[in-house]
Amino acid sequence: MSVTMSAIVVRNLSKTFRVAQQAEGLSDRLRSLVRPHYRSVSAVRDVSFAVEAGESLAFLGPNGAGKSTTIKILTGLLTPSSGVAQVLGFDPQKDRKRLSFVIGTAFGQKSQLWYHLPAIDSLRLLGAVYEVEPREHRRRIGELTERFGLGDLLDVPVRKLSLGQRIRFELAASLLHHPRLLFLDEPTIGLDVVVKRQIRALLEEWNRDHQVTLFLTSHDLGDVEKISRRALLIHHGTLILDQSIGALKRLAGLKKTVRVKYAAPVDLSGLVLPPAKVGADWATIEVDVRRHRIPEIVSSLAAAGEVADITIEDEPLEDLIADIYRTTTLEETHARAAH
Amino acid sequence: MRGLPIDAIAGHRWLLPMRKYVLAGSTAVRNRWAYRADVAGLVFTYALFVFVFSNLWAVAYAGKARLAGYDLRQLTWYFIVSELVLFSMGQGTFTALSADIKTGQVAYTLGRPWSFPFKSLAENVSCALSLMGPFALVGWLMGSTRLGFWRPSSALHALALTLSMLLALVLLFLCQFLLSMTAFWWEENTAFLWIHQKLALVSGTFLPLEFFPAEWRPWIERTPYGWLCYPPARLAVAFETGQVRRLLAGQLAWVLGLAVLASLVFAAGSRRTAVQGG
Amino acid sequence: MKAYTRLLVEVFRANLAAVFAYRIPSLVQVFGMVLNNASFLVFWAALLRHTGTVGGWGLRDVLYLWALGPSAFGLAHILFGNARQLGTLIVQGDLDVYLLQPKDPQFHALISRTVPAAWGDFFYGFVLLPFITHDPLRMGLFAIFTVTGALVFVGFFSLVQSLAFWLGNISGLASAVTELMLSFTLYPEPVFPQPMRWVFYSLIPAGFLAFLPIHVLRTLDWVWLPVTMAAALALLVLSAAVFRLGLRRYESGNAQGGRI
Repeated sequence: MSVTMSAIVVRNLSKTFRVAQQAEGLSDRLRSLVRPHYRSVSAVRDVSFAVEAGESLAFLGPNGAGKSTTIKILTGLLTPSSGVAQVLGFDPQKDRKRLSFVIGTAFGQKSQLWYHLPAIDSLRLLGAVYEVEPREHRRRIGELTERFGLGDLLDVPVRKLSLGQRIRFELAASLLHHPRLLFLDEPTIGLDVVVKRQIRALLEEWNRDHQVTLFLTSHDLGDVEKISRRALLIHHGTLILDQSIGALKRLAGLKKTVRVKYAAPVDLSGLVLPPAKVGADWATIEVDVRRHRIPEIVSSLAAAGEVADITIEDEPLEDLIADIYRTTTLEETHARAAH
Repeated sequence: MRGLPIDAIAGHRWLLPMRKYVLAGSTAVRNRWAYRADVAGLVFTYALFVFVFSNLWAVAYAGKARLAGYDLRQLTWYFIVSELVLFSMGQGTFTALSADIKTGQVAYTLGRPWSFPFKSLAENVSCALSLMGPFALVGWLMGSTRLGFWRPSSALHALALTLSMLLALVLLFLCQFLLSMTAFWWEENTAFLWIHQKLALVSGTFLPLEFFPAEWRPWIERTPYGWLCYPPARLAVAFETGQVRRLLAGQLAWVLGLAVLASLVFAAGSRRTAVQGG
Repeated sequence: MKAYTRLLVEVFRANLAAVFAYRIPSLVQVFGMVLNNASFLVFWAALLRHTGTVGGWGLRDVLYLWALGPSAFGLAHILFGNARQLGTLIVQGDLDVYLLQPKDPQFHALISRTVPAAWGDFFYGFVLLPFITHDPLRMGLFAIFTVTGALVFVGFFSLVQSLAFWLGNISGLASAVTELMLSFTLYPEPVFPQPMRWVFYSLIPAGFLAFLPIHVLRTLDWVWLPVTMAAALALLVLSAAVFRLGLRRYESGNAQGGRI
């Protein structure tokens, strides 16, 4: 019998910053010393969601949308203005130390490794930080470095490692103390395709085999598709989307792009749906499957001439999400938050 | 380019080359003063030193009229002047030049139509002169409030003092210039600066040379260290016309000698760079 | 406690490894510091040759100053090398790494660095000691005062650096404070006018670092030993409290520098 406990529970979370107004001109600057003017910046508005243990979640949003603020609240780095956040049963602000034993973090910007030393030194140090029993710790280092393909690199100074190697070490470091929940910020940024695949596979496997909950932020939707099974979209501080990746893909499947190439120039003026782009012997047609049926479109294209090649693609996830950002205005997000 | 004062006399073509060095100097000064908080910090440190040592000498002189031939007033002003020279020059010359050599920036400027050592001289001495203003003011105020108003005893005194300070600055520059040349051969050359700084401190900054055993004096004077802070500080507090010639001549001799050495070492170093490539 | 000892040992090992990775530059710094301290002794020897004593302090007393000051300063920066970097860490957001880990962030941040030059200071002090005294009691006291002095340095510097939580970039203030602290610990107490000496036991606690210990070393006036230890402890507690307050402000996100 398994009872899934929520790994993360967030209810009506809000965070407002008071930012001191920069004064221009001497008299204003003097005045602001005595009585500073603040303006409020609402970074997170009334956000609510829950994450089950073992889930793999992507946290998406344009820059400045409130992603980092939310993560900082969840990891205990920031105190919320109002609302409730609970991570693995802990209040991140009150129990930050106890929470940090059971969560792992791999933030692209902040490294946990000592730059001038071989990675093994940093890994050993982390064992002391997380109070892992030395023999067990050595075993884990061996296990992780083998799984992540880092065995020969343990004695290489971190500054000499390639970016991909360094990130693999950061990930291994974040897993050493066997956390139940892993926060990842842009884990594949700057990496080439081969290394990206490696890292996505490692993360997906770790989530599957060890039931480690993954909380991922990334601008790379390839990461999202390969690693995560659910996506949260935040924009202007409000949650505007909370869907499984499958559902998102189905949404993307509602708009298809049909590209057809003919053996010889044809006349396409009589098509059921006018092409978006057309040439003498080729055409690109955007199809909204809610309005037109693909079989109809394909038949009408085949009827126009001898088809040399045809491709039918779903709308890329990236475009879908970019559209959502674009079309969901500030007013809409505020209206949503007001419910 | 805006007209410079030098342009008023530079109708003569032979002064034209000087223009670029004057410009280099004024640019460097503007740069230096852009970091006003930095300068304020230095002035604070100078003032602190003057405060501590003024008190130190006052306590040291308890019950004594003279030490090594100096009375309390003289020794305190001695310190104010010697530290003034050192603080004005700072160690920026060494730091900047070493960095330029290590990054290969020097190789870059070698292709330009001016003498790198002269440019460096113009920049660093101009900065030092500009910094002397606030330091001298602070030092003079602190000294005068404690010991009474100080001023040169005659026009000759003022002239000799000014010349000696200028020579001291140039000599300090040359020392740092030569030391920074070590960067052509050694990556880690800060140790050379430290040794130089300590030798300079010990030989004539805190205490005049008269405080050392008489046998040491000739040896100190065989190094540039006897001619850095001692001459201007000595002239400030104990002006004797007989000494003026000796002190100024000694400083000048060392300036010329080190200048020749500096150009030789610089040539050798830049040849090395040209061969090895930045 | 055991966990923190293990942490200190492991971090220190990493610090040593980092210094060793750049051994030539580190050695140069050690050497430079020794030279620096030695040159001041040359000055004092030359001066005392003419005056005998300064305010009642003779060569042995000055040597005590120049042994205790450097060894305490050295020990402080050997073990707590980030004592004067805390402000920079705060302003640049580098504190987050320590906040995300299950150890006290102030302690962890402080010990995560060792300053090579500080080793020069530390050794210098202890090498000088046998030239001052052979009395085992005084040598023991010297060792104790080195520890209390180091704690005073660490407590005081990290307290000043914690002001960065409220004031942002405090590098100017911090260097001024360092200069003052060093000046007041390296010159005999009689040098400073009587009316200002209260400063050394409050705003710039150099008195607990140098003057009180040297008084005990000269006269064996025991009562001041526990006072010195209490002062060191008080400074540490105060600095921890200030840091914790500052951290709360950091966590509100409203700290100077506006990290959002």
